[in-house]
Amino acid sequence: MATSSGRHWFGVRKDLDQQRSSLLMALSFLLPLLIWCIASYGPWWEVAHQVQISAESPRLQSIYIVGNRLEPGTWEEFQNAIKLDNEEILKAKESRTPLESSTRQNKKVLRQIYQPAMINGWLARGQETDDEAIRQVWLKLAAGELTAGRQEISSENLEIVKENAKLLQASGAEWPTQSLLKLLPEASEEVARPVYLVPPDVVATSFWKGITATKPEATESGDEGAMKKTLLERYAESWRTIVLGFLLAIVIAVPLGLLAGTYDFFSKLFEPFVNFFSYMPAPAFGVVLMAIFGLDSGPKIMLVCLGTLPGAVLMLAKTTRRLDGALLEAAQTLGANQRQMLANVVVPGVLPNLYNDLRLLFGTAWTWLVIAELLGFKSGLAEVIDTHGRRFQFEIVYPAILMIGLSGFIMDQLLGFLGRFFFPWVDQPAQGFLASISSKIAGGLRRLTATKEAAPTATAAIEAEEAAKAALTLQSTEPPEEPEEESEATLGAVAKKSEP
Amino acid sequence: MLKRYLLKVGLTMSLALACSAFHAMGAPLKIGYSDWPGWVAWEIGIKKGWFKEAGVEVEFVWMDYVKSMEAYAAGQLDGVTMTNGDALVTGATGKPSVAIVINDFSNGNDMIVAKPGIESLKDMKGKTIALEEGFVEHLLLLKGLELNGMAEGDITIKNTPTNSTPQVFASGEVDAIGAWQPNSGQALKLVAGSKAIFTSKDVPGLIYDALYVDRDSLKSRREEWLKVAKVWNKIVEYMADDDNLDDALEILAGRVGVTPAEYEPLLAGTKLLSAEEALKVWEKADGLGSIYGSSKVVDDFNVKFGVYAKPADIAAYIDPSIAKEALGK
Repeated sequence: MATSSGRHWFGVRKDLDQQRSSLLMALSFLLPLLIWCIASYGPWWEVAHQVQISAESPRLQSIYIVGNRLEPGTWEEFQNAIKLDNEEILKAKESRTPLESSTRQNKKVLRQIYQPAMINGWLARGQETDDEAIRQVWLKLAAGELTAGRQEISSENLEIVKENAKLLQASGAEWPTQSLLKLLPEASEEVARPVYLVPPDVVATSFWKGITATKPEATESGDEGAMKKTLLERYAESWRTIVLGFLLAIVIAVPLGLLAGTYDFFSKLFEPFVNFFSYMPAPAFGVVLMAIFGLDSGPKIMLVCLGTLPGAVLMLAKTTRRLDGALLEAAQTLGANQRQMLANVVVPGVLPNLYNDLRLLFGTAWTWLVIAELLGFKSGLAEVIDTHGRRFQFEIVYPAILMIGLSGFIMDQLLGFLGRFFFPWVDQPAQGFLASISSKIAGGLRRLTATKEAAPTATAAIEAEEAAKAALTLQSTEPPEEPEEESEATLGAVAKKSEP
Repeated sequence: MLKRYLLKVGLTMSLALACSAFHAMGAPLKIGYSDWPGWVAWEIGIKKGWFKEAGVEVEFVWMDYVKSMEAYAAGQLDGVTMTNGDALVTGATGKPSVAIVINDFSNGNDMIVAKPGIESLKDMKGKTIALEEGFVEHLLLLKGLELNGMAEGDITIKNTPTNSTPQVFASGEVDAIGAWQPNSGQALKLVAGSKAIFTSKDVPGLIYDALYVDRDSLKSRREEWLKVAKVWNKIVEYMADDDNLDDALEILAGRVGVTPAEYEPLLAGTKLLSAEEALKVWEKADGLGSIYGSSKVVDDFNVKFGVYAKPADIAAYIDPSIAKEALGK
């Protein structure tokens, strides 16, 4: 029995004891997490430069803004470009033919001080285009009235500030027409991880930030732009899409499946085409769905429905067909008519398996979600994944992916757990994760409080209970599976979940 | 009794029909727009409420570029922003349209970006490039090859959605990509030392960006489209003033989700056309200075490279009358 083989980690076809299986279950999640940590916190990443003061140069094809991370080579190129620009300006000045520059250009040069000025508290947030305030910062900094607290400014840059302040003062309230010197780029040193390898702590913080974010204020035009909805609102959108799509699919599939599984007439009428249709990729109908159902949530719901439907019909028909023939014969013997057989024998008889089928189907519905949400207007979590994925903001993408994964997983476990209450007479082959966790927590508590003998007694009690349930099972005398023309996949799925 | 009942039903139904017809008349014009700087500029009119002011109900639908053309072809939009080349492609394979507003021409934002070590298109011989086949960057590449005296077969093309090109480029799978801003800029940033080896600045006027609308909608709702064109003129005028630039940049950058500082250089690669400048482009002429000439060049390419089979009736895709009327000419 389970307890006697518990001493060994490896025993052919032997169950592990509760303690060991809980440990392994935890490890199955902890190991990937550990690999993730090693990969992202490992010592193999070199140094990158995160821009704190930026600049623009026609010598460069890219514009780097504060927060960008640059490789050492690019960083050097960036600095050299700005130095060359400044040298040119100085040279022209010395030869008494100073370079001209537009007001706009000069304003942009001055604005590069905004980031350190904000961090040091010289400017408030949102003043990045307040050119007069920025100009005052330059003048005060040159006069030595401001001292850097949180973010130092290099002595080279302070020289540049002083040089430019002379020009600013000379032009009075007007803007100088001569070219101002550019601040040299400054950066903090960062770990040069690839963008897609976001460390766990960053993902966790971003996840927390996402789910606790409050709704941003609506814009005057009431436009719902890409950034206007919170993560939770998008999550709700995704749920709506998947639940409606799934419900629509089963509303159609359940009657069709029951009919096809009960009457050969309907089986031959529906199943060949449905089987054929199930091989056609649902996303290929995207444009058609858009043409028929518009750009809003219509085509998304329909895609989830279309993706789930064919499999559902086949699976439900198969389940219905596997109902024990003896039950039907008994009912006929008792004088049941066609309608009574269907309503009083077939439907209640297949209900537990039907429930399990639907649970599995709900799982497959999740796989259609991301494709569906990109149809027409992007919506839901897929919008976050797609939009931010393109901008390489993976710290925002991963929490959204995680939410989909967790939702599917937890929902499946929850439905499995509930199934045990709905149909207590059915022997559940695989214990749900939640159910096993709850029993494991209970078992752990018992071990902590009681003596060692308490555990086997508890196990025995559970076993007795399960034996009682098995005795109640309707389909304990199920005939061996007959080969039928259904696809391998359907057969496999059905066989897996109804092992005797 | 039955007769009266039928009459009642008939009346209700015709009333309902009349209502829906009336509703269709009053429904806002639906326009799909995407992340090209010249089109994001419509956002200024939206945010400032200028459409309401002009007395026209417009619903701008923010979409992925290719998807917006699909939605237009599927009949879900009354108008869509696209390049003159893509309008011909969409017309040949999906649904024809007609240009009523020319927003800009691409002046460097469309780029072929190559890995470090590749200095020109000539170095691309025997190498691979990722771009969206049959659409505007494909055309840019073909034009570049022609100018460099190269054949189409000299470069292997990997068909890739434009929005995914930065990722594909960063992965190192290909030697170059073809994309427009902001994608092309992203690619440049992602791969240190990469370079734009051929851009639309080398062939100004090859790519015009315009508002294309449904031909029937233009006929039945001409007055409304005219108002839309007038708002565009107001937008261009607003953006031409340096003092408004910060405000404009904030609106544009906000729509795309980057910072204004990042967005500013993208405007330099987009030559927004003032109403007067656009008038010249509307004139019938050969060469890239006119939308007729430019579309002819594109059409020849499309036929030559099998994007579609028969040459298009170019004049049917262009209607300068709205632009002229909006200026009072």
